[in-house]
Amino acid sequence: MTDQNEFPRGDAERAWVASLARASAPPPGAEDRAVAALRREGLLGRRRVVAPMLLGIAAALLVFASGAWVGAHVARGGSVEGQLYRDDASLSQRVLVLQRAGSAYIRAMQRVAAVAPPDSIAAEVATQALTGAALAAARAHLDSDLSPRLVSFFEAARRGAATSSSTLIWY
Amino acid sequence: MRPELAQSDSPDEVLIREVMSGSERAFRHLYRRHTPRLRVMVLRLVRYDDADADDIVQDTWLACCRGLHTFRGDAQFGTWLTRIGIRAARHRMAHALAEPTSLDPADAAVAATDGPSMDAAIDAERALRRLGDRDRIVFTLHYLEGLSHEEIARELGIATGTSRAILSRALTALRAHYGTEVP
Repeated sequence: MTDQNEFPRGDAERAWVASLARASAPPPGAEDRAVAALRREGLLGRRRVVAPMLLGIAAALLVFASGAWVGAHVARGGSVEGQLYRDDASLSQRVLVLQRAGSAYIRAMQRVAAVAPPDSIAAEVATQALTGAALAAARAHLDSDLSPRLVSFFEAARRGAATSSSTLIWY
Repeated sequence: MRPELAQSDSPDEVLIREVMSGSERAFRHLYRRHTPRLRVMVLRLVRYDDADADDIVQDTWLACCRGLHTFRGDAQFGTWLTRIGIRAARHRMAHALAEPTSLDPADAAVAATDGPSMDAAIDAERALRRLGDRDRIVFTLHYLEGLSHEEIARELGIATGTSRAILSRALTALRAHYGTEVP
């Protein structure tokens, strides 16, 4: 039995379907009108220009920030201050840091002396730092008897200097 | 990285990606590729009214581009666009779709008024044109666009049985016009 809704049925119907149009060209200007409408809605045009520009700026900022962070990290890690707080340093590395800190102290003192005539504050800072270092060495038992003797010497000298100089708040 | 420039032979997926990033060039390629087929379907749905068809085609592309991010590629882009076109046309043809579902002998009578004396291509389109709105719409969607009765029912907001009945009526009218077969 034939299904009445079967279509196309037979050559004539197939030819009829084949003769139906498959396309209809839009009128001139329709494409431009569609583009204009999409532009008005912001769906075309603007994002193509803006998005890559914003992405470029964002990428440049990211690269700059990353570079700055890495640079600061490396510099901080290589400085005496950075090395002081490293928990994973070996004994030889810690001794090296101690040596660099001592050298830094001497260089700092020389630089102070080079740019200005010694004054009471500079002398106080230099003495306090040296005394503090001697005290720390004595408390840490890093040597047998030299540090206590140095501490006594500088304490006596500091007491004598304190009577004739302004008080320095020491942190 | 320099964005990929759309070519007229680029696959739909490439053009779609570029349209989503705002490429007018890609949109024009996509438009030229799919509009002729979309337009002929819309023309059949809206009684061959060119002005209505062009408005609907534009509405279809606007809706398409607004919702392009929802296109997952499960179906062909052309099929997806066709569905949007059907919905856009449905608004214009709401009155026609609201017609009574009972068979209207007038449709068949109108279809039977002319004999098959014209050039086949013109005659085929004219035969469709002479069908009632509902008959022509369902016939077009089922036989020319390949939608099932369930899909037609969903798109047009009618019952599946109604879709079948309308299609049967349309075929009867066409076959009555040409004799036992079309044409």
